[in-house]
Amino acid sequence: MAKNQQIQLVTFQLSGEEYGVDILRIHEIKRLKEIGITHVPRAPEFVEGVINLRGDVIPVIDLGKRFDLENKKVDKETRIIVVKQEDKFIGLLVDRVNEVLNVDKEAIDEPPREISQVNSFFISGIARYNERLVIVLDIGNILSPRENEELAKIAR
Amino acid sequence: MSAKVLVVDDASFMRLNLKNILESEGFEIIGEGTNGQEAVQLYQAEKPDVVTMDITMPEMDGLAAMEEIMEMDPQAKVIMVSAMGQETYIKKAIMSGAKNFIVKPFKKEKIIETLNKVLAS
Amino acid sequence: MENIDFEKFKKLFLQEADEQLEIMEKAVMQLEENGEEREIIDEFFRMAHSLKGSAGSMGYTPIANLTHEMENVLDKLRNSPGILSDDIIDLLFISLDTLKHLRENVEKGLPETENPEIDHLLQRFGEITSKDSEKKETDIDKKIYLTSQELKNLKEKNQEKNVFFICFELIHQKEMQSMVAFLVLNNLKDEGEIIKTYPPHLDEVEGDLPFFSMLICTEKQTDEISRVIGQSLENEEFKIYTLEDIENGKSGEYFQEVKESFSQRGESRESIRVDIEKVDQLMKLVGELVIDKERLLEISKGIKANSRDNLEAQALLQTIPHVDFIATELHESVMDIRMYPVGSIFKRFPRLVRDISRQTGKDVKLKFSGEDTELDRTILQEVFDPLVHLVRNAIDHGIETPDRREKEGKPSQGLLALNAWQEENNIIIEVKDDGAGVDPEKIKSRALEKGLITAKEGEEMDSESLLELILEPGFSTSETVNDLSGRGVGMDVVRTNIEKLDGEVEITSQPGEGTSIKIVLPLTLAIVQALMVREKGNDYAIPLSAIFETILVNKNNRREVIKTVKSREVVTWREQVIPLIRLGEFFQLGNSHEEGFLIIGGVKGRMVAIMVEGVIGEQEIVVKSLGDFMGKDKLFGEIPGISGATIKGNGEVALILDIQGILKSFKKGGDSVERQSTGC
Repeated sequence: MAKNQQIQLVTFQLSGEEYGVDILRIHEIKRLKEIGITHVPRAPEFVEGVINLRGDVIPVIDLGKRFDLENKKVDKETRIIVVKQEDKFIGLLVDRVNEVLNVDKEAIDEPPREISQVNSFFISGIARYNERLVIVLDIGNILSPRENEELAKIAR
Repeated sequence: MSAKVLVVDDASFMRLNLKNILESEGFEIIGEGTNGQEAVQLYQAEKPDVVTMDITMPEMDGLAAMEEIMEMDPQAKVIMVSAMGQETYIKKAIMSGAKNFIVKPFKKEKIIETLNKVLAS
Repeated sequence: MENIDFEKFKKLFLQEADEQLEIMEKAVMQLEENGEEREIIDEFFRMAHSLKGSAGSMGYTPIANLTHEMENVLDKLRNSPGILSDDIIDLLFISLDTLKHLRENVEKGLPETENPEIDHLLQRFGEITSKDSEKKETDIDKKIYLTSQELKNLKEKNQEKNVFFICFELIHQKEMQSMVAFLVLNNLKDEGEIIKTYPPHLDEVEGDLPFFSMLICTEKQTDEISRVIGQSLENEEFKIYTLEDIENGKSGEYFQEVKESFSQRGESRESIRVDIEKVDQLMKLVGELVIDKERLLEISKGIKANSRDNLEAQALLQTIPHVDFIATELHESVMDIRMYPVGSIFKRFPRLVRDISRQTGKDVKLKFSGEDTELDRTILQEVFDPLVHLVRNAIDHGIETPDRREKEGKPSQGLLALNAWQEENNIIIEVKDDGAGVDPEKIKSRALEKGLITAKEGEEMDSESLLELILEPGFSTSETVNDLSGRGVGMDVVRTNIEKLDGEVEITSQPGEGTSIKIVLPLTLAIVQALMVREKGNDYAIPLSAIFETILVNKNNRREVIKTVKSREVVTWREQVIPLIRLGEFFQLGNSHEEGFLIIGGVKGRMVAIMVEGVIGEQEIVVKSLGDFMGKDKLFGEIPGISGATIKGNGEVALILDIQGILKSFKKGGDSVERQSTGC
């Protein structure tokens, strides 16, 4: 019974904070060094570029830039988390992938307005795990264009 | 004015046969070639009105000879003489400019008709 | 495994059978009501034929047998007009009921049992068709089939020329008849275009061929054609029919106009249904193969230079061209599988047209032609929305109300036609109405009013280019509701969508008589020839279809080639002055360079010179859409100048440049381009 109430979060590091994404959303995790990213001119700044994922061309988003966070330099820990959203694959560039956590659903709270540096538009909840707080991301909103984000801000 | 014909065939029987038929109808045989090379040389020397060209011959075959003649004289009128089963050669010849073809063994009327047609064109 | 597959096929079969039975039932009712109507009989026949085919391949013999007999009787109706009787109608009704019953049994998985009813039916059919059926069979086999659309296109495209249908019968010549045909064919090829022949591949037939026929389109007259044929035929019979003869049915039994894809019957094809996802997967794999093939070709260049003496390397070099060939062939075959009939989207329109007509109080008759014209599946999907828009516009703003039509002396019912056909490498889909049409003069004044053109430009434009203004963004606004401007609502969106598919929109219109809007589309998109160029460490692909020339720019010729006019850089090419765009600046990649290559490109007469650092070479590229991410309200937003992406030999992505988009963005935002260059 309790097991049914759990979800598995893949957690990663971004500018010092810990974030999580439902493991069911994740397709694979790649080392940045393994792939060449092609720059897309005139795309929004947070678009790192596009990569070839077994024949599909998919975008890679720099999550740090997306959230207007301080950017950590690319190093050997930098990873691309490939997530699936409405049949589309998208790569998320993160500072470091931490681990997989089994979190009770009950331990995930509604996102408070100003919990982190990140615009709550992108957050679906805050997970408590022992002493840690993990920010659970809303993949759908991360992938929506800037305008929607602005709209969401106004709505608030 | 009788038309000048060049007869090319490696078999002397066939040349004789054609010669008899054609001469009896008033054609003038201006040369007989026994292979492709001779055919080309004779054509150059005699400028016949029409050529009957056997396909299978030693040295140079009829197809190659016809092609060389066509190259020398794009207006040349060459009739291919072929045995059954040489469709592929005939097709090639027609595509390279042969005006018509006759199938061996042939009838006298067929030969005369074909020659007259080709000469009239 | 086999069982699962069989179940899948069975499900498909049942689905299709339902459709077929429904259409057949409708057809019998129409036959009963209206008598012998050729179109209905053809449709009926086609359905029976399809059902027979699928039942046969599934092993449902009773269904196959019964449909076979139905086919025969329908064929007889077709060939001997006037024999339709109540008896036959009855028989057809009973057969359909029996077929339905048999279909139920299939669904329930009941075994086939002896069925005296079927035997009885078969016998009755046999009685009707037995008379001289043997002769009919052979005659059918000798026909040239041409669809109504093909015939119509033939007429329209060749108004200046003659179309002849020529039948030959060889009576005297008994040997190598096929060679006589070949000779005639070869001679006639010099006189015009051979459109179709019986037998279909006349130039490949060998052996006996007492009868053959051909359809030729020529500038010559009958006597001239007759003379040419005479040169290669001795005492043999041939008949020449003109197009009018054909239409008046004088061409006899050897020529047949048919509806839609029935023409394929003569070639007796078999087909299977395949899940489209599997085809897409196949296409994807072929795409990867093409990429690897390009990579292999690249590698082989290196090997060639370095290893003359290495036997294995030489063997490899001999194998690679073959791989190249096979990959290309494979690609073409798969593309062919992806082709879908336009009819698959046309059939969604009757309902739509009825609804819009009702809303707008118009009376509209919808007609189709060319439904079996095929188009790449991806393109077909993308073209539906623009078509809906065009159809909506045509009814809403083109076709007048019944009252007004009557006042203007037109039939009160308006006509809306969706036509499709192929022209060389393009597929054309036309939305045509007989409504009010568009007046170029009114467009001119409106465009002036909107500031889209200057008075001087307006003077110089012909009516065609004036009509094209409808497609410009900002031509029309929703607050104006008169016929003229309403016609333009959203037309720029239509154009943008079609241009994304590498297509074009063409408008012709006669005030008072109607409007035709043609969507001209490429046959297929997925793989194109492109030139790979490099700028600031990035590779870009430019489709060759948009490139005219590549010019090297270095220290020596720089000043001659690139000039500055009114503070804008231009290039003179073949006496045209064309704007220069530096790719690096256009894409905001950094400082410009003074040496490199000019890619002279253009679309629809508008030219541009694009300056890049390097040219890598030509290669086949597989086009990958970025449509999921690029565009308004999408992740990347709109990115002018990029139409998609491709994967290079090394596995990395290269973006595909969109010359049209660059031109557009340059025209629209010429200033911004300038600003960028001063900013660098």
